Amino acid sequence: MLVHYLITVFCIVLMLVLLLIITVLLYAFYRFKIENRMNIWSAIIDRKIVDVIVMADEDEFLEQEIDQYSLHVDFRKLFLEKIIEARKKFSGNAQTKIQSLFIDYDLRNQVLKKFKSKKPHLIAAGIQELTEMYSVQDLSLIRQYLNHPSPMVNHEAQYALTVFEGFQGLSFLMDWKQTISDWQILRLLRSVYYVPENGEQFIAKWLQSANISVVIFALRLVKKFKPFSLYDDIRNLLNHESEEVCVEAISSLQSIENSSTVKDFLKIYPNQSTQVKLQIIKEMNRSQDSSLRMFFLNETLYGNDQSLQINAAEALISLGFQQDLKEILNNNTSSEELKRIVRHALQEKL
Amino acid sequence: MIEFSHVVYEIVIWLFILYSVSVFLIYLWIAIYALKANLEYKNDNKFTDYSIISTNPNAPMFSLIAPAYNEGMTIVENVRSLLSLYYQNLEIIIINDGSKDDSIVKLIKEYELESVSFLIQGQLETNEVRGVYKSKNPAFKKLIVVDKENGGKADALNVGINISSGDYLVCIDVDCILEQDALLKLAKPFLEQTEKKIIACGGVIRLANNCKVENGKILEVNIPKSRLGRAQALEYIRAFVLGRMAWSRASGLILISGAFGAFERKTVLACGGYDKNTVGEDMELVVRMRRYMEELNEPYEVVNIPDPLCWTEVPESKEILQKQRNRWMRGTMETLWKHRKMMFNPKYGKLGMISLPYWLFFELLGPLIEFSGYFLFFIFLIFGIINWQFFLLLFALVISTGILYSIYSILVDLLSKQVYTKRKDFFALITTAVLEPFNFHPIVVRAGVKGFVDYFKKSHGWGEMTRQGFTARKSGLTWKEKIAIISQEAFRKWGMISLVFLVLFTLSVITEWQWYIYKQSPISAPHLFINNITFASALCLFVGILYWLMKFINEFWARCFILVVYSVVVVWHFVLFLFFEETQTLLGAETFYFSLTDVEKILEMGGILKTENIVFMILLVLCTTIPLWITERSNFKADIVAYGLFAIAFIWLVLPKEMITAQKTKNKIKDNASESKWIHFFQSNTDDFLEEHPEINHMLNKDQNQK
Repeated sequence: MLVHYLITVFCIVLMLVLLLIITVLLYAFYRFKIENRMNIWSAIIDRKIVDVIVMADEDEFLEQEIDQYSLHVDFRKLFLEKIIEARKKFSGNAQTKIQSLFIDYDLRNQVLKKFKSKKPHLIAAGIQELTEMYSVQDLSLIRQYLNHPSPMVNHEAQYALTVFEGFQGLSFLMDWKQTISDWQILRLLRSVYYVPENGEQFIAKWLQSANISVVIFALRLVKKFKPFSLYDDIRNLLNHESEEVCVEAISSLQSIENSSTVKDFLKIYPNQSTQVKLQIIKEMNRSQDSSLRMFFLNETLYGNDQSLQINAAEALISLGFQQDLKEILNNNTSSEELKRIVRHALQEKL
Repeated sequence: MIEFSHVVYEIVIWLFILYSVSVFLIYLWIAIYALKANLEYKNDNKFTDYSIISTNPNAPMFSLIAPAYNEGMTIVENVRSLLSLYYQNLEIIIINDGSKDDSIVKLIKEYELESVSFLIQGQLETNEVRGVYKSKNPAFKKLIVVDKENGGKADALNVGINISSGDYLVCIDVDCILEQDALLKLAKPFLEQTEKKIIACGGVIRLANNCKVENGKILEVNIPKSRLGRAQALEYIRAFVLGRMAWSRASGLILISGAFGAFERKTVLACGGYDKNTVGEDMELVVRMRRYMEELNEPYEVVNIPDPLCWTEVPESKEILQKQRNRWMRGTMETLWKHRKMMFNPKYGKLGMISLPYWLFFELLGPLIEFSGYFLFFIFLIFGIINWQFFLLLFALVISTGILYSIYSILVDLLSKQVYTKRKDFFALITTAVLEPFNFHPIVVRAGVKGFVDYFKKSHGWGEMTRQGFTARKSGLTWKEKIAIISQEAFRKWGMISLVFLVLFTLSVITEWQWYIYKQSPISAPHLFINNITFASALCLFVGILYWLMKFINEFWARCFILVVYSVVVVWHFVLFLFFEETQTLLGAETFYFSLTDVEKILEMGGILKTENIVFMILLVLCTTIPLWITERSNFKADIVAYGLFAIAFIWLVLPKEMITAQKTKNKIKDNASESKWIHFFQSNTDDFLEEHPEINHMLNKDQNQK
């Protein structure tokens, strides 16, 4: 009975093995063929792109070749990928010419087919492709996906909107509840080139958001565009319950510093965590304010953490007060640990 | 007896089949899950623009730590390769772990290094740092070279962690070749984290053997030339593209390769860095980090990405390969033992209930079970009791499933990120998939079993274990101190070996109980267990006293004594209950009235001397002796086990059990079946001895009368 059962199982598994070997081999041949064909197609598309940019699209033979291959779905996919890649590499007139290929060869329709799918990765890819090809006419379509349940899709929609609309595209932040990842923050920041006149009002509202990631995004936006009118809004965040926000706020505040910035930092300094104190020292170091000499010296001597002491000592060097540190080294009452900290800051050669 | 050994034979076979089916199901799950994980990753990252972070000052800081020991031949080239990685916020920390060659001299010369004052802020305990070097040349400003006393890879990595200032650590082997965009790809999961904190991330490691390498870069990918190299290429595809991707997707990954992995620095520091006392420091760190997060009750992830980011040379000689696998096995055992608290502990979620048990049953026990299968095969072969049809079918099934899995892994690799694009390389992989179960897998199994044995032999085996013989410590001590040390050693060893004995003996009692049920014989389970545990407890205490006394006379004989007594008791228990089951009478002192010839005749007449029974007895002796021997060879510092066992055994003996055991039924056979066969055997022999020696009997009675 057992043996009979095993024979059946064995036969099934053996058949599966053989089937899989055949599948892998066939798939490998298929891939190999595709790879070969792709290499040929790739060269043709590259020639076409060069022709469009440099030769004003004059090669008729090439045109025929492309028309012939365009019947293949794989060719069209490759064509789309190649022109997206090329568009990223070029700018100005060349970019516009590459974009014309997207329209001339009706690749947009190929992209739009992806929106009929329910698979998030296909929709996301569609949004990405429309964004890369700067297909403004599809903005309303993309906007529909802003609240799509898949983060992959809604992140792409957010990015697309900022690419197309710049700062206005960030309006979704007003009531955004989900956490925005650092990756997405970096993408969004990169796609915003200027803040419009009324933009500061929006940033001020985002700074008060209950969503910490939105606050952090707004703070980084401040750091990038330096809207000085938001100084007080950011100062109010120095005592925020989130350490991450505090650290970011200190950095942003320094980027729009005024005569009271150092005072503001010194005021909050004593009651902060080590991480926040460290950030304050780093930012005050950037201000290159020589009146901070005593503060830095004090922190070097009595700071309650090695990292604070090292950074304070480095700030003294940055302000040109190396002599203070050398005196600490020469002072017989200085502890060995303090001397090591000072030597580290001075990067003494041994 | 014949029937019993036949049933045991069937049970053993079924256990092997059950294990094979479990392996098959687990690998089926891995296959399906990994395919989805690979395709998801491919789709998600089709258009990812990594330039967002390559030069962005807001990108997190990474500290790349590369320990080096005697790498003088290649270190300059390797560092140059690391310096060319695409990532701006990066510091590269090379740790010269007390190399005996000219590594440090070459580095100083090539990179214009000078020794600087450097305050190491990290608090991890390490061997002494001789010096920290930085370059005068601004082109190498990312580079920090540390020269330290030799302390092993974990120690060197800990120095790197102490020195590092990045948000994330990338720990690599210095001889690895990284793809130039490796850090960009590795950084993405950390930057994408939202609700769950990413504490560690690994990438796919591929083989650099036979690849064309120039200036620390892979220019042409070729499959290794040697048989072992090819088999490992396939093995790495299976491990990284299937195994790790599936476990990563299921949030159950507990291994990020030591050759290339990224970790969140704060968590690493909070966990205490790498453990210097284990040979599997990479796996141990990930398990400890996960344990830390589980105990904090914070959501986290350990992820693996299917991009081939790192290239490494694998051993192509059998000896080095075996050493490596031996080390991996010991590392796995050390980690699982160290974190045994989490095993099957629901408090630790998937880690305790799925990941660790998987590693125990399939990664650790896998080679041992396979080896025991081969062993059984040879035993059966010697005694000529193999059902060849059955054996060949089972063997073919196992082998073909292995080939199926390997070929499937090639297919998944092809669908995701295939690196072997040449036609001949692809066919070589397919051929390897078919041959590997015969020419590579046995080597790995053998090395695994050797690692298992070595684990118990070597000093750093269990982490908590010591192999410092007390004889070494005895010299120069007073008698009192010697007695105290010997007593402590004896007590500890007795505790562990007695615990194993109790487990084995209890298993034999459970077998007895189940056998009666199977044979539909009347039995009272509580009686049977209480009587037998009483016997075992008394025996443990009695043997403990003798063992302790013998330790003072001769350690070797003490070891032999405890091993023989415990093994004989377990094995003889089977004989006693099987005899009872056959004859319905309890075996006692009459055993010794028969001459050897009589015994042989009786056994022959009863059909006992059959091959199946002999095989069964051999297996029984091995299954009993090996665990006891292994335990005896190890030297656990588990005082608590000895104290606990002593207390429990003592309390058990003192506790009144008559309430239960004194109750007799009218069924004599049932009462006898529920008796401890050993107690009867022992009492019968004692009575017989006293009858033969009336002077002792008289003396004992006199003592009693006086009282």
